[in-house]
Amino acid sequence: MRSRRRPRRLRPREQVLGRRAPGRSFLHRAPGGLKVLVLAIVTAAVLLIREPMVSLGVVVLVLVTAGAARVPLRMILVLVRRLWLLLTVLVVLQLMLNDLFTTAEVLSRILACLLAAQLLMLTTEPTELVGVLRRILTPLRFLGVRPGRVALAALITLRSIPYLADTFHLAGQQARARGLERDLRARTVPLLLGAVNHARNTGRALNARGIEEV
Amino acid sequence: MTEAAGIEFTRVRVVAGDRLLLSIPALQLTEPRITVIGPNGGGKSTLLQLINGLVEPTEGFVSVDGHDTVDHGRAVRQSAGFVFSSPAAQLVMPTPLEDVELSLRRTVRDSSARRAAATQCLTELGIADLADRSSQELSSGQQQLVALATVLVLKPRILLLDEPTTLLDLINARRFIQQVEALGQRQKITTITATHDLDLAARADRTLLVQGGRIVADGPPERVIGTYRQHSTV
Repeated sequence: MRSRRRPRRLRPREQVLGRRAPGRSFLHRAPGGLKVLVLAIVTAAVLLIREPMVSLGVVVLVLVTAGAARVPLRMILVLVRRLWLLLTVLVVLQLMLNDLFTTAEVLSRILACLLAAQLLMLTTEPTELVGVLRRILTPLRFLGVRPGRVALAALITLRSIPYLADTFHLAGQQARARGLERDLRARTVPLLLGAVNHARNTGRALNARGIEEV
Repeated sequence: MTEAAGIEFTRVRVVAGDRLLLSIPALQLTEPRITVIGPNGGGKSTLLQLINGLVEPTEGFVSVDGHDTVDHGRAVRQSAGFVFSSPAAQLVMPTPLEDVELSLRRTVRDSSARRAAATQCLTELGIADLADRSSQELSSGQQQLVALATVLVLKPRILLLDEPTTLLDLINARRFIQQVEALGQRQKITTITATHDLDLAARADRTLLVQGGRIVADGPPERVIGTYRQHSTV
């Protein structure tokens, strides 16, 4: 058999958000507001204390909690794989500008926050999170903030991400079909136009239904 | 302004920049099933969107059951539902049931009554089994039926369909049309459909051919579709 490059794998649809770990564990059932509060406290602690051992401790704690809630570790760690390029650049920059200790400190802090947030996303319904957001904003009513509107915006943002990921993928395929896979414009212009078009269509549909808030 | 039932256009011109998109000197629509055909960019969408006030006439008046679409946009939109051709952009909530409930938020205060009405609407459209699925994982055909449900649950008197089956396969398109026709008859809903599907266009009491921003032909479907075919010979 002729040897050749391995065929390009067909990628499954990107699911950055809206993907949840299956199950009904204590973590899945805990109220969204409580989980957001804990996440906020943990994040604040990690950011303020700036101690690599504390951050690493949080990482371990997140992984142990995930294990106890039977959330597959793969689903949490996939975030690291998705962001590896960004994290690598960050580490290299830190090593160039600072010492090893600072690098470890920065990296562990970022990982702790990201993974804790990922665990929240995996075990909480998006609608519940939007509900929490609305409750947090409710006291700001007197400033003219309309929580229902902000919640609707958040919901549409969440929904748009898989659509944009699809559009991006399609633009890549279309560019490749024309032999333009190295052309930045061929890959990004359709994405931008698609995004604007999708935004207009969404706005028109909501307008037609007379919906201004959730 | 007249108090007559139905849709009335009076000396309407829609201008974008210095381009005339649509010009309709006079038009009255009272038939239960109306279809609009014509080439891309001819003005079909603009015509439909004028009826529920999504597009406002630059000059002239459009009224629905005596309500001016500029003065009473919200009331008009409440009685004239609109279904677009792109299914994904019309749904905002994670599940079909929640999306249908969202439509009712303004009119039905009680949340259990809202749920009951939404469930009933999905059942009527034969898609009760989709209620709790993830909207974004549904097929385009299913999404389009959900989009129809979000509009029908408000019991509109007019249903505006802008190329509703363009992105659907044959079986889903037929199912969609069947549901619209059955419900249209049962609930006495006037349907106005813009389409490129001439078989679908033929299932109407009256057909308009819109081309170059004007109504070029208006009458029984067979005759108007014949005119369109003649205009379109290459």
